Amino acid sequence: MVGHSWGTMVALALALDHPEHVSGLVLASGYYYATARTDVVLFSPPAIPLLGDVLCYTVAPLIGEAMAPRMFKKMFAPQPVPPRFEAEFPTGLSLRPSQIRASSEDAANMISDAKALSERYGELSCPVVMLAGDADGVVNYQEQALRLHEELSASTLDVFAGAGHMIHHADPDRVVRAIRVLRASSETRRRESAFAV
Amino acid sequence: MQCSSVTDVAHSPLFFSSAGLNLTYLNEAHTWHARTISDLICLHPNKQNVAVGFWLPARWPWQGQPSSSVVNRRSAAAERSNPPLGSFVVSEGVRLHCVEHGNGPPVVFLHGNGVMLEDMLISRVFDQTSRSRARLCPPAPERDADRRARYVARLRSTAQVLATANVRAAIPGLRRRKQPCFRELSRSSESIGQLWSVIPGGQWSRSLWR
Repeated sequence: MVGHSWGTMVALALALDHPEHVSGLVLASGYYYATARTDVVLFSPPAIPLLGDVLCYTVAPLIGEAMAPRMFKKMFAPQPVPPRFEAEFPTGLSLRPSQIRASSEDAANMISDAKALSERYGELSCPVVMLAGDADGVVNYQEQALRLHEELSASTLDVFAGAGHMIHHADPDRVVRAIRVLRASSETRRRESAFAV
Repeated sequence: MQCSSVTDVAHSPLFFSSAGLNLTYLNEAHTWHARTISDLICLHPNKQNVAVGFWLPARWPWQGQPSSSVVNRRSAAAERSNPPLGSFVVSEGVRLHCVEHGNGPPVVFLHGNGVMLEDMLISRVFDQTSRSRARLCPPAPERDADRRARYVARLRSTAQVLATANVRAAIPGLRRRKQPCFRELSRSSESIGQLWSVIPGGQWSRSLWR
Protein backbone atom coordinates (compact mmCIF):
# COMPACT_ATOMS: atom_id res chain seq x y z
CA MET A 1 0.00 0.00 0.00
CA VAL A 2 1.29 3.42 -0.91
CA GLY A 3 -0.40 6.37 0.75
CA HIS A 4 0.21 10.05 0.27
CA SER A 5 -0.84 12.66 2.83
CA TRP A 6 -4.41 11.88 3.98
CA GLY A 7 -4.17 8.56 2.12
CA THR A 8 -1.57 7.38 4.64
CA MET A 9 -4.30 7.28 7.30
CA VAL A 10 -6.44 4.96 5.22
CA ALA A 11 -3.40 2.81 4.49
CA LEU A 12 -2.56 2.63 8.20
CA ALA A 13 -6.17 1.85 9.14
CA LEU A 14 -6.22 -0.96 6.61
CA ALA A 15 -2.88 -2.34 7.77
CA LEU A 16 -4.09 -2.31 11.38
CA ASP A 17 -7.50 -3.85 10.78
CA HIS A 18 -6.76 -6.12 7.84
CA PRO A 19 -3.08 -7.04 8.12
CA GLU A 20 -3.66 -9.99 5.78
CA HIS A 21 -4.26 -7.51 2.94
CA VAL A 22 -1.11 -5.50 3.45
CA SER A 23 2.42 -6.76 2.98
CA GLY A 24 4.07 -3.39 3.41
CA LEU A 25 3.39 0.32 3.73
CA VAL A 26 4.99 3.22 1.91
CA LEU A 27 3.81 6.40 3.58
CA ALA A 28 4.62 9.65 1.80
CA SER A 29 4.22 13.04 3.50
CA GLY A 30 1.83 11.45 5.94
CA TYR A 31 -0.17 12.85 8.80
CA TYR A 32 0.05 10.51 11.80
CA TYR A 33 -0.41 12.48 15.01
CA ALA A 34 -3.03 15.04 15.94
CA THR A 35 -1.77 18.62 15.77
CA ALA A 36 -3.44 22.00 15.51
CA ARG A 37 -3.96 22.74 11.85
CA THR A 38 -5.29 25.98 10.44
CA ASP A 39 -5.97 24.46 7.04
CA VAL A 40 -8.38 22.01 8.67
CA VAL A 41 -10.41 24.87 10.13
CA LEU A 42 -10.34 26.54 6.75
CA PHE A 43 -11.59 23.46 4.88
CA SER A 44 -14.19 22.22 7.33
CA PRO A 45 -17.21 24.55 6.88
CA PRO A 46 -18.67 22.63 3.90
CA ALA A 47 -18.86 19.58 6.17
CA ILE A 48 -21.27 21.27 8.56
CA PRO A 49 -24.73 19.70 8.17
CA LEU A 50 -27.26 21.88 6.34
CA LEU A 51 -25.07 24.98 6.20
CA GLY A 52 -22.38 22.95 4.45
CA ASP A 53 -24.88 21.66 1.92
CA VAL A 54 -25.80 25.17 1.00
CA LEU A 55 -22.14 26.20 0.82
CA CYS A 56 -21.25 23.28 -1.45
CA TYR A 57 -23.84 24.26 -4.01
CA THR A 58 -23.28 27.98 -3.84
CA VAL A 59 -20.13 29.82 -2.85
CA ALA A 60 -17.75 26.97 -1.99
CA PRO A 61 -16.93 26.06 -5.62
CA LEU A 62 -16.31 29.71 -6.40
CA ILE A 63 -14.12 30.23 -3.34
CA GLY A 64 -12.36 26.99 -4.19
CA GLU A 65 -11.63 28.14 -7.67
CA ALA A 66 -10.25 31.42 -6.43
CA MET A 67 -8.08 29.65 -3.85
CA ALA A 68 -6.93 26.72 -5.96
CA PRO A 69 -3.77 28.29 -7.40
CA ARG A 70 -2.62 29.37 -3.96
CA MET A 71 -3.43 25.95 -2.48
CA PHE A 72 -1.46 24.16 -5.15
CA LYS A 73 1.42 26.55 -4.66
CA LYS A 74 1.46 25.79 -0.95
CA MET A 75 1.24 22.04 -1.50
CA PHE A 76 4.21 22.03 -3.85
CA ALA A 77 6.31 24.72 -2.13
CA PRO A 78 9.26 25.18 -2.15
CA GLN A 79 9.10 23.52 -5.58
CA PRO A 80 7.07 25.38 -8.20
CA VAL A 81 3.79 23.83 -9.32
CA PRO A 82 4.85 21.54 -12.20
CA PRO A 83 3.54 22.76 -15.57
CA ARG A 84 2.30 19.24 -16.25
CA PHE A 85 0.19 19.36 -13.08
CA GLU A 86 -1.17 22.78 -13.94
CA ALA A 87 -2.08 21.65 -17.41
CA GLU A 88 -3.52 18.24 -16.62
CA PHE A 89 -5.02 18.26 -13.13
CA PRO A 90 -8.82 18.49 -13.49
CA THR A 91 -9.45 21.24 -10.96
CA GLY A 92 -13.03 21.48 -12.19
CA LEU A 93 -13.76 17.95 -10.98
CA SER A 94 -12.41 18.70 -7.52
CA LEU A 95 -14.74 21.71 -7.28
CA ARG A 96 -17.94 19.75 -7.76
CA PRO A 97 -20.24 20.05 -4.73
CA SER A 98 -20.04 16.36 -3.81
CA GLN A 99 -16.27 16.43 -4.04
CA ILE A 100 -15.98 19.57 -1.93
CA ARG A 101 -18.29 18.01 0.63
CA ALA A 102 -16.27 14.80 0.83
CA SER A 103 -12.92 16.56 0.98
CA SER A 104 -14.11 18.83 3.74
CA GLU A 105 -15.51 15.90 5.72
CA ASP A 106 -12.15 14.21 5.45
CA ALA A 107 -10.47 17.40 6.56
CA ALA A 108 -12.88 17.86 9.45
CA ASN A 109 -12.31 14.30 10.68
CA MET A 110 -8.58 14.27 10.06
CA ILE A 111 -7.35 15.42 13.45
CA SER A 112 -9.61 13.15 15.49
CA ASP A 113 -8.92 10.23 13.15
CA ALA A 114 -5.18 10.75 13.53
CA LYS A 115 -5.52 10.92 17.30
CA ALA A 116 -7.45 7.66 17.45
CA LEU A 117 -5.15 5.91 14.97
CA SER A 118 -2.03 7.06 16.76
CA GLU A 119 -2.94 5.03 19.81
CA ARG A 120 -2.60 1.82 17.80
CA TYR A 121 0.64 2.25 15.87
CA GLY A 122 2.34 -0.23 18.16
CA GLU A 123 0.19 -3.00 16.69
CA LEU A 124 1.60 -2.56 13.18
CA SER A 125 3.14 -5.79 11.99
CA CYS A 126 4.16 -5.04 8.41
CA PRO A 127 7.29 -3.20 7.27
CA VAL A 128 6.81 0.56 7.05
CA VAL A 129 8.77 2.96 4.86
CA MET A 130 8.16 6.65 5.45
CA LEU A 131 9.05 9.33 2.96
CA ALA A 132 9.01 12.97 3.97
CA GLY A 133 10.17 16.31 2.62
CA ASP A 134 12.01 18.45 5.14
CA ALA A 135 10.55 21.61 3.58
CA ASP A 136 6.96 20.34 3.74
CA GLY A 137 4.66 23.31 4.37
CA VAL A 138 1.52 21.24 4.97
CA VAL A 139 2.66 18.71 7.55
CA ASN A 140 5.82 19.12 9.59
CA TYR A 141 7.96 16.05 9.09
CA GLN A 142 9.59 16.36 12.51
CA GLU A 143 6.23 16.31 14.26
CA GLN A 144 4.91 13.52 12.09
CA ALA A 145 7.22 11.17 10.20
CA LEU A 146 10.14 11.49 12.59
CA ARG A 147 7.92 10.86 15.58
CA LEU A 148 6.33 7.78 14.01
CA HIS A 149 9.77 6.56 13.00
CA GLU A 150 10.87 6.80 16.62
CA GLU A 151 7.75 5.02 17.83
CA LEU A 152 7.96 2.09 15.43
CA SER A 153 10.68 -0.42 16.06
CA ALA A 154 11.14 -1.49 12.46
CA SER A 155 10.57 1.39 10.09
CA THR A 156 12.62 3.26 7.53
CA LEU A 157 12.55 7.01 7.19
CA ASP A 158 13.78 8.64 4.02
CA VAL A 159 13.93 12.43 4.23
CA PHE A 160 13.97 14.26 0.92
CA ALA A 161 16.10 17.36 1.39
CA GLY A 162 14.38 20.53 0.24
CA ALA A 163 11.23 18.74 -0.92
CA GLY A 164 7.72 20.00 -0.15
CA HIS A 165 4.49 18.13 0.54
CA MET A 166 4.20 16.69 -2.97
CA ILE A 167 7.35 14.63 -2.79
CA HIS A 168 6.12 12.24 -5.46
CA HIS A 169 6.33 15.17 -7.86
CA ALA A 170 9.57 16.53 -6.45
CA ASP A 171 11.42 13.22 -6.83
CA PRO A 172 9.26 10.48 -8.35
CA ASP A 173 12.26 8.24 -9.00
CA ARG A 174 13.11 8.09 -5.33
CA VAL A 175 9.53 7.24 -4.40
CA VAL A 176 9.46 4.50 -7.01
CA ARG A 177 12.74 3.15 -5.69
CA ALA A 178 11.29 2.96 -2.19
CA ILE A 179 8.25 1.06 -3.48
CA ARG A 180 10.47 -1.34 -5.44
CA VAL A 181 12.74 -2.04 -2.50
CA LEU A 182 9.86 -2.69 -0.13
CA ARG A 183 8.08 -4.89 -2.63
CA ALA A 184 11.19 -6.88 -3.36
CA SER A 185 11.76 -7.49 0.35
CA SER A 186 8.17 -8.49 0.98
CA GLU A 187 8.28 -10.87 -1.99
CA THR A 188 11.41 -12.44 -0.58
CA ARG A 189 9.80 -12.76 2.82
CA ARG A 190 6.73 -14.38 1.33
CA ARG A 191 8.81 -16.83 -0.64
CA GLU A 192 10.86 -17.69 2.44
CA SER A 193 7.80 -18.25 4.58
CA ALA A 194 6.24 -20.39 1.86
CA PHE A 195 9.47 -22.41 1.76
CA ALA A 196 9.47 -22.77 5.52
CA VAL A 197 5.94 -24.12 5.47
CA MET B 1 -20.27 9.38 -24.74
CA GLN B 2 -22.79 10.38 -22.20
CA CYS B 3 -21.92 11.97 -18.92
CA SER B 4 -23.86 12.25 -15.77
CA SER B 5 -23.94 15.46 -13.90
CA VAL B 6 -25.38 16.90 -10.78
CA THR B 7 -28.22 18.16 -12.92
CA ASP B 8 -29.04 14.65 -14.14
CA VAL B 9 -29.37 13.50 -10.58
CA ALA B 10 -32.54 15.48 -10.12
CA HIS B 11 -34.18 13.50 -12.88
CA SER B 12 -32.94 10.08 -11.86
CA PRO B 13 -35.41 7.59 -10.41
CA LEU B 14 -33.34 7.23 -7.26
CA PHE B 15 -34.14 10.60 -5.96
CA PHE B 16 -34.93 10.98 -2.30
CA SER B 17 -36.59 13.90 -0.70
CA SER B 18 -37.05 14.64 2.96
CA ALA B 19 -38.01 17.76 4.83
CA GLY B 20 -36.53 20.17 2.39
CA LEU B 21 -33.14 18.46 2.38
CA ASN B 22 -32.82 16.19 -0.56
CA LEU B 23 -30.47 13.30 -0.77
CA THR B 24 -29.75 12.45 -4.31
CA TYR B 25 -28.15 9.21 -5.22
CA LEU B 26 -26.85 8.82 -8.67
CA ASN B 27 -27.00 5.26 -9.83
CA GLU B 28 -25.03 3.62 -12.62
CA ALA B 29 -25.83 6.46 -14.91
CA HIS B 30 -22.25 6.93 -15.97
CA THR B 31 -21.30 5.75 -19.32
CA TRP B 32 -17.80 6.66 -20.21
CA HIS B 33 -14.90 5.48 -22.16
CA ALA B 34 -11.54 4.96 -20.67
CA ARG B 35 -8.79 7.13 -21.92
CA THR B 36 -5.73 5.12 -22.62
CA ILE B 37 -3.09 5.88 -20.10
CA SER B 38 -0.27 3.51 -20.53
CA ASP B 39 0.91 1.41 -17.64
CA LEU B 40 -1.38 2.94 -15.08
CA ILE B 41 -4.09 1.55 -12.92
CA CYS B 42 -5.92 3.69 -10.53
CA LEU B 43 -8.77 3.58 -8.17
CA HIS B 44 -10.49 6.86 -8.62
CA PRO B 45 -12.33 8.86 -6.02
CA ASN B 46 -15.88 8.00 -6.75
CA LYS B 47 -17.19 11.20 -5.42
CA GLN B 48 -19.40 12.08 -8.29
CA ASN B 49 -21.82 9.29 -7.63
CA VAL B 50 -23.30 10.57 -4.43
CA ALA B 51 -24.53 14.09 -4.14
CA VAL B 52 -26.07 15.50 -1.02
CA GLY B 53 -27.60 18.90 -1.08
CA PHE B 54 -30.56 21.12 -1.51
CA TRP B 55 -32.53 20.41 -4.56
CA LEU B 56 -34.06 23.41 -6.19
CA PRO B 57 -36.67 23.15 -8.92
CA ALA B 58 -35.15 21.62 -12.03
CA ARG B 59 -36.16 24.61 -14.03
CA TRP B 60 -36.85 28.13 -13.08
CA PRO B 61 -40.18 28.79 -14.73
CA TRP B 62 -38.91 31.92 -16.39
CA GLN B 63 -35.56 30.52 -17.50
CA GLY B 64 -35.89 27.00 -18.73
CA GLN B 65 -32.49 26.39 -17.14
CA PRO B 66 -31.44 24.00 -14.41
CA SER B 67 -31.42 25.52 -11.00
CA SER B 68 -28.32 26.27 -9.00
CA SER B 69 -27.27 26.46 -12.56
CA VAL B 70 -23.84 27.97 -12.31
CA VAL B 71 -22.45 25.27 -10.04
CA ASN B 72 -24.31 22.47 -11.77
CA ARG B 73 -23.35 23.53 -15.23
CA ARG B 74 -19.73 23.89 -14.26
CA SER B 75 -19.71 20.48 -12.62
CA ALA B 76 -21.32 18.94 -15.67
CA ALA B 77 -18.82 20.61 -17.94
CA ALA B 78 -15.93 19.40 -15.78
CA GLU B 79 -17.26 15.84 -15.93
CA ARG B 80 -17.75 16.04 -19.66
CA SER B 81 -14.22 17.16 -20.26
CA ASN B 82 -12.75 14.64 -17.77
CA PRO B 83 -14.50 11.33 -18.28
CA PRO B 84 -13.62 8.82 -15.54
CA LEU B 85 -10.79 6.43 -16.28
CA GLY B 86 -10.93 2.68 -15.82
CA SER B 87 -13.73 0.70 -14.22
CA PHE B 88 -15.76 0.41 -11.03
CA VAL B 89 -15.51 -2.01 -8.14
CA VAL B 90 -18.75 -2.37 -6.20
CA SER B 91 -18.89 -3.75 -2.71
CA GLU B 92 -21.90 -3.58 -0.45
CA GLY B 93 -23.34 -0.74 -2.41
CA VAL B 94 -20.18 1.32 -2.29
CA ARG B 95 -18.62 1.96 -5.61
CA LEU B 96 -14.95 2.57 -6.19
CA HIS B 97 -13.62 3.85 -9.41
CA CYS B 98 -10.51 2.03 -10.48
CA VAL B 99 -8.11 1.89 -13.32
CA GLU B 100 -6.09 -1.26 -13.45
CA HIS B 101 -3.13 -2.25 -15.44
CA GLY B 102 -0.61 -5.01 -15.59
CA ASN B 103 -0.13 -8.13 -13.58
CA GLY B 104 2.61 -7.84 -11.00
CA PRO B 105 1.93 -8.05 -7.28
CA PRO B 106 -0.66 -5.34 -6.63
CA VAL B 107 0.42 -2.00 -5.28
CA VAL B 108 -2.46 0.09 -4.00
CA PHE B 109 -2.02 3.85 -4.03
CA LEU B 110 -4.08 6.16 -1.89
CA HIS B 111 -3.95 9.80 -2.79
CA GLY B 112 -4.22 12.70 -0.40
CA ASN B 113 -7.18 14.86 0.47
CA GLY B 114 -8.20 17.57 -1.96
CA VAL B 115 -6.64 15.94 -4.98
CA MET B 116 -7.67 13.00 -7.13
CA LEU B 117 -6.08 10.05 -8.83
CA GLU B 118 -4.86 12.33 -11.57
CA ASP B 119 -2.32 13.64 -9.08
CA MET B 120 -0.57 10.28 -9.02
CA LEU B 121 -0.89 9.87 -12.78
CA ILE B 122 0.65 13.25 -13.39
CA SER B 123 3.57 12.57 -11.05
CA ARG B 124 4.45 9.51 -13.18
CA VAL B 125 5.10 7.47 -10.05
CA PHE B 126 2.91 4.66 -11.31
CA ASP B 127 4.18 4.77 -14.79
CA GLN B 128 7.62 4.16 -13.39
CA THR B 129 6.51 1.63 -10.81
CA SER B 130 5.10 -0.61 -13.50
CA ARG B 131 8.07 -0.17 -15.80
CA SER B 132 10.60 -1.06 -13.16
CA ARG B 133 8.67 -4.24 -12.53
CA ALA B 134 8.99 -5.23 -16.15
CA ARG B 135 12.74 -4.96 -15.98
CA LEU B 136 13.15 -6.53 -12.60
CA CYS B 137 11.19 -9.70 -12.89
CA PRO B 138 9.74 -10.92 -16.16
CA PRO B 139 7.39 -13.71 -15.10
CA ALA B 140 7.23 -17.03 -16.91
CA PRO B 141 4.97 -16.60 -19.96
CA GLU B 142 3.03 -19.84 -19.49
CA ARG B 143 2.00 -18.74 -16.03
CA ASP B 144 0.87 -15.30 -17.12
CA ALA B 145 -2.84 -15.90 -17.06
CA ASP B 146 -2.76 -17.60 -13.66
CA ARG B 147 -0.58 -15.01 -12.05
CA ARG B 148 -2.48 -12.19 -13.51
CA ALA B 149 -5.78 -13.62 -12.35
CA ARG B 150 -4.38 -14.12 -8.86
CA TYR B 151 -3.00 -10.63 -8.59
CA VAL B 152 -6.11 -9.05 -9.95
CA ALA B 153 -8.15 -11.07 -7.49
CA ARG B 154 -5.96 -9.84 -4.66
CA LEU B 155 -6.22 -6.26 -5.75
CA ARG B 156 -9.97 -6.57 -6.09
CA SER B 157 -10.34 -8.05 -2.64
CA THR B 158 -8.28 -5.23 -1.18
CA ALA B 159 -10.33 -2.73 -3.07
CA GLN B 160 -13.49 -4.38 -1.86
CA VAL B 161 -12.34 -4.23 1.71
CA LEU B 162 -11.60 -0.58 1.20
CA ALA B 163 -14.91 -0.05 -0.50
CA THR B 164 -16.85 -1.50 2.36
CA ALA B 165 -18.33 1.15 4.55
CA ASN B 166 -16.76 -0.63 7.50
CA VAL B 167 -13.32 0.38 6.39
CA ARG B 168 -14.09 4.01 6.71
CA ALA B 169 -15.40 3.00 10.10
CA ALA B 170 -12.07 1.29 10.64
CA ILE B 171 -10.58 4.71 11.07
CA PRO B 172 -11.25 4.70 14.75
CA GLY B 173 -12.62 8.19 15.02
CA LEU B 174 -15.66 7.00 13.17
CA ARG B 175 -16.27 3.93 15.26
CA ARG B 176 -18.41 5.80 17.69
CA ARG B 177 -21.05 6.25 15.08
CA LYS B 178 -24.15 4.14 14.97
CA GLN B 179 -25.19 1.76 12.23
CA PRO B 180 -24.83 3.61 8.97
CA CYS B 181 -27.99 5.19 7.71
CA PHE B 182 -28.22 6.18 4.11
CA ARG B 183 -26.49 9.42 4.76
CA GLU B 184 -23.66 7.86 6.74
CA LEU B 185 -23.18 5.34 4.00
CA SER B 186 -23.03 7.97 1.34
CA ARG B 187 -20.47 9.89 3.35
CA SER B 188 -18.32 6.85 3.88
CA SER B 189 -18.45 5.90 0.26
CA GLU B 190 -17.25 9.29 -0.72
CA SER B 191 -14.48 9.23 1.80
CA ILE B 192 -13.30 5.76 1.04
CA GLY B 193 -13.51 6.55 -2.59
CA GLN B 194 -10.20 8.29 -2.31
CA LEU B 195 -7.93 5.62 -3.45
CA TRP B 196 -6.31 4.38 -6.49
CA SER B 197 -4.18 1.50 -7.35
CA VAL B 198 -1.68 0.10 -9.73
CA ILE B 199 -0.81 -3.40 -10.64
CA PRO B 200 2.56 -3.04 -12.21
CA GLY B 201 3.03 -5.26 -15.18
CA GLY B 202 5.53 -6.49 -17.70
CA GLN B 203 5.85 -6.02 -21.43
CA TRP B 204 3.45 -8.83 -22.19
CA SER B 205 0.86 -7.33 -19.96
CA ARG B 206 0.91 -4.17 -21.96
CA SER B 207 -0.40 -6.02 -24.93
CA LEU B 208 -3.16 -7.40 -22.72
CA TRP B 209 -4.28 -4.03 -21.56
CA ARG B 210 -3.86 -1.92 -24.63
